[in-house]
Amino acid sequence: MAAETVAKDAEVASCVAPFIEARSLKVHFLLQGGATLKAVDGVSFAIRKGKTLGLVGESGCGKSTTGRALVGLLKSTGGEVLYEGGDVESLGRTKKRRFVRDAQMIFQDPYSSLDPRMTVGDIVGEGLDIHRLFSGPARTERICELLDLVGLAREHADRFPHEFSGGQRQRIGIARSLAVEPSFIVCDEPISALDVSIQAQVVNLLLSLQSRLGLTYLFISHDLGMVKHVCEEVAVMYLGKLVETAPSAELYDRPMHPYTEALLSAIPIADPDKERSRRRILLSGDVPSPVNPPPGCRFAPRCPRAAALCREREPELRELSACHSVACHLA
Amino acid sequence: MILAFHAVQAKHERRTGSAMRSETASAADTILEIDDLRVSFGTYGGTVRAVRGISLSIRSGECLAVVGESGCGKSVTAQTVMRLIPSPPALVEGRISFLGEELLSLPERKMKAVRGSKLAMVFQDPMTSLDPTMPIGKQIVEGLRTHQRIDKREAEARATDTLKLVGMPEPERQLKRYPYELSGGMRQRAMIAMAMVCRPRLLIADEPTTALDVTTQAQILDLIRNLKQEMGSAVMLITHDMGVVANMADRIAVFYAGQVVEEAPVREIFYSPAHPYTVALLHSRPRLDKGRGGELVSIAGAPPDLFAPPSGCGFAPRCGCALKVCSRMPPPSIDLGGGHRTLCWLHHEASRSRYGEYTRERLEKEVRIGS
Amino acid sequence: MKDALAPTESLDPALFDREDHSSRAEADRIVRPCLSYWRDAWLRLRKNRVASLGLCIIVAYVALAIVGPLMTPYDYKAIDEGMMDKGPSAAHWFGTDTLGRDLWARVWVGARVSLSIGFVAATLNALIGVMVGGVSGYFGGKTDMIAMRIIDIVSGIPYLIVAILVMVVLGTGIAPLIVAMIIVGWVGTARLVRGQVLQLKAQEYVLAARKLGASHARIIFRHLVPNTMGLVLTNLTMAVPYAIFSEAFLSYIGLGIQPPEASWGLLARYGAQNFRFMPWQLFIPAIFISTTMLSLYLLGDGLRDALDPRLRS
Repeated sequence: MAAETVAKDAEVASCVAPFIEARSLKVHFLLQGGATLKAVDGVSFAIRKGKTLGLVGESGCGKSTTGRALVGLLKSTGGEVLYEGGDVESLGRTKKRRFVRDAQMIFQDPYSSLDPRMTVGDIVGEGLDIHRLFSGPARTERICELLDLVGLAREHADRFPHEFSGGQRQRIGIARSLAVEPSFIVCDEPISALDVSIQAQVVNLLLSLQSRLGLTYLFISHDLGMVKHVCEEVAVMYLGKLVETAPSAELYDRPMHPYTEALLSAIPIADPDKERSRRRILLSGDVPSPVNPPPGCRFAPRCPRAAALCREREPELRELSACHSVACHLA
Repeated sequence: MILAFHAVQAKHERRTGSAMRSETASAADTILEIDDLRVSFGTYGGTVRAVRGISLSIRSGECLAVVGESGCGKSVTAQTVMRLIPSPPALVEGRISFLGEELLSLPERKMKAVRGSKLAMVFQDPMTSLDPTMPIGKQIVEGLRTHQRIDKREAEARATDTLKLVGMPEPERQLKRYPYELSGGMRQRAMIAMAMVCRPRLLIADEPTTALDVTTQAQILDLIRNLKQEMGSAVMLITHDMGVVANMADRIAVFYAGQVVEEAPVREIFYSPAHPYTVALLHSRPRLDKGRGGELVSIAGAPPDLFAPPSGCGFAPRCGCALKVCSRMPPPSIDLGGGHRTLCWLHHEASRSRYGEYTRERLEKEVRIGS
Repeated sequence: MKDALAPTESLDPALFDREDHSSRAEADRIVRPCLSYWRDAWLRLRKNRVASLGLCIIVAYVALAIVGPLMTPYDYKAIDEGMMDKGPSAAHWFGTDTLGRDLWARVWVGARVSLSIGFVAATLNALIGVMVGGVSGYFGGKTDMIAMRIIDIVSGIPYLIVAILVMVVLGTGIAPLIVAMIIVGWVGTARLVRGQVLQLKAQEYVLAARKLGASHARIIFRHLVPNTMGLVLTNLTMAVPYAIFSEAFLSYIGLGIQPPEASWGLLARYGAQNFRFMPWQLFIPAIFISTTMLSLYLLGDGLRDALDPRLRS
């Protein structure tokens, strides 16, 4: 039964220390005029080695910012990032250098994530050059291996990015990040810009690489269908805060937060009978701007079930059942 | 949102999915008919044959979904119907008939009268399709006054009504707003308002929700559906998302490499697809009732280069069920009955007699040709 | 719809055999020939007739600057009292000046001076501009603020005053002239490059390089600068005529090249004095200055279009 597997997972989870962890991570931007943009405002989650955590939400929720802060591309304003149990900021030099290599990122836009002036071989080999891992014929060989790993041909090494399709470019980006032999990869919307049939190719590649190389992923996406397919655990973000985290199957079967319910209800199902007969939760208004979040629960203005308490006090993320946490007064 | 609208054809519009479509019956209420359209562009690299002989028709009040991936020719088709593609340098052949008029031979002056009033279009990215230097009220009024002789005050009143119709809060205030001040969903509503203000007979929506969040997408699709019913407009919905199609469409045309590879009523496409590409498309998305892991059906390779289109079926190099004839001769259009036709040799008599019927289950098994 | 349907009888049953899909590699093959950014730009430039014409003219002038003086037996400095102020003839193709010097030779020696000052000054300006703009745009913050203030101050200095001061200190001649031009001239490129770098900094490939552990120098010189090269090159092509004109102007007012050396500006100066009676002495250098500048502008326009990645197809 589903509940049993969830409980078992939780048991295992508590025994195994997390590989990458975020604790009350905050990323605030100071805007002109004095206002603060609280893109990420106290987010905590943990990812175990070899597993995939999905981070979902709509535009402006802060998921990309979280990913970038996690790997060190953005400076966090508060909170900590823990790598193998130790705070990244206070790691020794060697361990910190290892973290820089160990945590890599795959980007969303295949058209701007590759330097248009460099050949594919140079792009993929850049990591090798920076860290002086190989040189000469060994370097060429390693580049060919990497291209092979992602399903591209050796001949492609001499070509330029503009000669490739979106799906192929994403593969080049994946090969580039694999060159430095990372153990943790943040996939920031890696498939949103691709055609549907190509998305399947890239997702299959990411999953097979994970099992071959023992990678840990943070999979950031707004595509809930794909997230369920890829991730063991899912965290839902709204306006800079986590509203719900749960094991994947649990989240889709028993969502507890009204926003998660609305999100799941909004995914169109490719089945006309089911799609046209289902009851849909339509939220009012649009996703608000993160510059001036409303007082109390951030979702209250659009929430179909909001009560007076919701507009006064911000709910905390509480664990309600095994590994399933919700930030809602009404759950 | 009650609008009294005098629609002559509105009564005919309730879709009857199982109705057999005979040529004479459909001729009466067909508003758009595309016949063997071919569009080619000359570029530095050579000639691109973007659209290679497509034929479609849309009846009054129905929603035809055009599905396909990038490069399949769906956007080019839509833009050709709107005559937005300058015709030299592009080469356009074939016939497009809209409400009895031949659009391709219409002088530009007359086309301008059609465009925006009887035939309207909504684009994917509202940020680049709305003029960023003009308030949205002005853009809507401009559209109205181009086609109808009404004074500014009345035009503004109509614009406000239309904004209310599309669900904009405080429509009077929104009239003065610039596109950059609005969110993505609001901009898309503004664009829909601009398109619908003249009560078009046909609305072409080119990926209207692709750039929007999923909750906003649900709202916009709902809006388009309601407007379609209230105004009796037909909709040509271009998308790559089969879920959106399942939600909105009466009929579906699947595009691949510049051709229509399958066309059928919505339930037929989802429950009895006939073309291998359609089957692959339906299965490349993960199913929400399955758990984590497993391999998604991905079709190896990419769509053919339209600089040198293949002489046979465009999908043959990637098709797990391909026959020798598929790569040598272009497949004929096979009528499967019930308004369902497909461009595939597998359903040809010769193939049927040899291999039997290609049902959906069989296609699902054989279409997996690896990642 | 036009059916490609042939009657069943005429179709060979063997055609309905299964296709053999053993070669999957076909699927990912790239059909079109490899076209690098520069090669693509060159092809596009060639198709632009006007820009190609400009390029041909420049190439022709450079060629003549090299071989022109060798085509006549007269030395450009040789004074011939018997042949003063003669019009164009078979012996002196461009005529002679007030001191009887052959104008053809002087024009092409002058071309050497004017063109080399133009190209060298413009190139040095570009190099300095790229350095300053690149570093300033990349690091932002205080570095950027200081650099921008320096740029603002320098661009506020009247160029002529700088030129005069430099001449006073360093004397006249090609080198002081170039120094005078670069003291103020790098500012335009710096601003341009800074703007471009600010934009490119946010591109995902730069983030990717940072994530891989690239040093600042590597990012600036391997990623940012090459991607601004198109813009810099176009700007350079437009800066050369400006430099040529500056030299002409300074020599014309007596600050630049001095006789008996030659430059187009100098020739124009002395030609202007005799304009009433010997118009060719002014017209000829003036025409060369104008056509050179025009050709470079046309080439620059064409180059901008050719290098714009958005216009490629």
